[in-house]
This record gives sequence, structure tokens and C-alpha cells, in this order.
Amino acid sequence: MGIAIRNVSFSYPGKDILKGIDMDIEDGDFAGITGSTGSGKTTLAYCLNGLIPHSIRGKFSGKVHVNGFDTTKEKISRLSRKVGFVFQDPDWQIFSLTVKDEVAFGLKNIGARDIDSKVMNALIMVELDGMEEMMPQNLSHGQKQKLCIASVLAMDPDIIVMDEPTSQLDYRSTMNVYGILKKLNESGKTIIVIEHNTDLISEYANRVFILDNGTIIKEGSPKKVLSDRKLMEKLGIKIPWVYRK
Amino acid sequence: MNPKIKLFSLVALSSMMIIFPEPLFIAAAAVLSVAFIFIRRVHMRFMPWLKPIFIVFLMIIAFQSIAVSGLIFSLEGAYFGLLFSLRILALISLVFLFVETTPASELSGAFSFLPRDISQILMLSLSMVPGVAVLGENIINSQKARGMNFMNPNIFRTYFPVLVPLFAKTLYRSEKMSLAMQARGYGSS
Repeated sequence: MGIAIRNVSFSYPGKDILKGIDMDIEDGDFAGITGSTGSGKTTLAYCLNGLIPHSIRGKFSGKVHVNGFDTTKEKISRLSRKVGFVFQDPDWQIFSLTVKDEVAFGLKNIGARDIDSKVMNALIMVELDGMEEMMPQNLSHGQKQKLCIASVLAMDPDIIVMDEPTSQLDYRSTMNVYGILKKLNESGKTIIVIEHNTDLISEYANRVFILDNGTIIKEGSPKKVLSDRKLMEKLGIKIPWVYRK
Repeated sequence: MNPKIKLFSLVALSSMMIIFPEPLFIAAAAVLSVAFIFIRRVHMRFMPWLKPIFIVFLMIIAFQSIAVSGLIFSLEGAYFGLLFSLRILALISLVFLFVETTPASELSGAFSFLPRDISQILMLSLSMVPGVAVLGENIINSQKARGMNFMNPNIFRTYFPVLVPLFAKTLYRSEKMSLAMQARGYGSS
């Protein structure tokens, strides 16, 4: 099943963001999407859980199928059980007064059972157990990012999309978050990460997509894509250390 | 104290101040609520808010004193302005007291008897307060770093460059929050 994106275009009045995107991601993939700022990475991610076209206004065309569901026809609330989305800034997505309530938020929305045990399991996975009663605003940035991951994990989606999860994290927290993603991927989840740090993509992803000006200009294995020195230099993307000679 | 009783008392007192605008009652409520802030020793967090609150009060009193008798100063108008300001002070102090003396876990429990959408709105508003406060502080600091003089007596000139970006960023953040809520299934139950 996985994800199939066919000829997807999206534009705001006077500005084309995505231009005829075709993309396939298999179940169990760890996909990395990279590209320069403004290339359309986040907009593409919004198409995966139905925020585009349902909530974000603009002109949309094409088809997005996620595990057999047509995202243009399914409600976002239904898609949220299939696709977990972690936004770039944790402060945008924390809206409860305690850590426990934050993780339980999505579960209550979908009418899940055994909410307490699911919340605890998710918190244990991201090593935030023992902080259930704390106010999320009092957590460090890295802990907030982990909380956002836990909130998504608790809903047990098949696919997890993360928009620049480590852009505001230090090295240790970054490694921590990627360690969690690796474990999730090994347990069968499909992971899609939007990431500027090509070293991380080359280490963790098995498929890489490069977006430029709203189109995918190269895709394949990290080695095939990220070792293309000419392309990387042209786009201003850093060549990972492992492919430098 | 049980957070539900605290919440009920807060709503009851606030409603009484709006329904019965007795000057003595409002003044007593304002004095007592501020006094309780000191008794519960949470005044250190309340003090920084006093200056902007009093600036707003001065504006209200000044506006009321000339508005009541057609752009001519009147004592009656000033009195109305003072009464209105005292009422706002009492309401702010009561809400502050409630939030500061109720742990976050009990606070969410206090709203549990309300319909989910309403309790969610209340929790969302409360959870946004620290973030907006930090954002405001950051904007003030960045404006100061660019040479902004906050001692300027022209309060419009002083606070406009803070309030406009604060308002715009808060709106942007609210929009992103609504996307995040939808992405986690809000609206499906």
C-alpha cells in the first residue's frame, strides 16, 4: 500500500508551490525529503495527512493515496489515525496543561480505549515517563519535541511524518530523536522526515527525495542522490561527510 | 481547596461584580483579591503585570472623564472610569490567583465537568498564556536591541511596535495550532 502521490500541484494566488509531484513511498520505508528553503517540502508534507486540500486554502490538483485512502476524499480526522504529523515547532502543537493530557488529546479525539495505558506506553518510548503531571511549557525544547512524538505515537499511526524535527535541537537531543525514529522504523512504521541535515538523512534514511522549486529533481538511495556533487553544489545542499572524498 | 469549588467561586464572584456594580463591593473585591495574592505569596509573579495594567487604567479613567460630558472633564466620568478599572483589577487578580494557586493537573480536572469543546477552549487559552508572555518579552527585547526607547511618554509610539508583532505572531501561532489539532483528529468525535 504505502504512499502514492500522482501529479500533485498546489498554488497560492500568484505563487506555485508544488508542480506536478510524483512520488512513491513503500510501507516500512525511512524516507528523507530535503531541499533548499522554500522548495515546497512542508507543503508536500501537508498533502500527506489531508491538511491540503481540506484546511489550507489554495489551488490543489492531483491524487494522494495513503494506505489506500484518497486524502482528498477522506476527513483529516480519519487520516490522523493513519498518518501522524509532527510539526516543525513544538510550541505550535502543544495545547494541554499537562504532559499526560497532551498525549491523551489525540486518543480522546478518536475515541480510543485504555487511554491511560496508551499514554504511559508512548511516554516510556520517548523516555518522558515520570513527567506526566508536568506542564509542557516547563519542558526543555528537546523534551517538548519528544512529547510531540509521543502524542503521535500514542495514536499508533502506520506512517509518521516529521517536519524538520531537529532544527532547534542540540546534538544530543537530535541523536535521541533519530534513535526513537530508527526504533519505530524497525518496528514497521513508515517514517518520512523533512530534513536539511544531509548527514542525518544519509545515516538513517533508505530513500531520499530532493525537492527544488516545487518539483522532485532526484530520488533514490542516499548514496545515489546525496553523492551527486554537482547537483548538491548547484542547489546549495551540503554533501554528507560519508560521500566526501 | 477542590479546584472545581475554586472555579465555581471565581465564576460566581466575577458574575456578581458584573451584575451588581456596587462601588463598595467592587472596591472590597479588588482590595481583597490583591491582598490574597500577597497572602498566598504569589505576588512576585504579579508585580511585573502591574505597570501595564495601571497604564491601561489611566487611559480608561482619562477617556471616561472626558467622554461622559461631551469632551469636557467631569468628576463623574473619572469616578466611572475608576470604578471600571477597579472591576478589571479585581477580575484579573481573581483569575491570576486561581491559575497561580492551582497545579496544572488539577486545573485540567477543574474543567472536566464542562463539555469537551468548552473545556478545550479554556485549557488552550490558559496553555497559551506562558507562550504569549515569552513572545512579548522577546519582542520587547529585540525592539530594545534596535534602539527602542520604552521610557517615551507617548504610549502609542512605545507600545505599537510591540503589540502589532505580538498580535500578528499570536494569530499565526493560533492558525498553526488549529492545523496541529486537526492533524491529531480534533473534530472527529
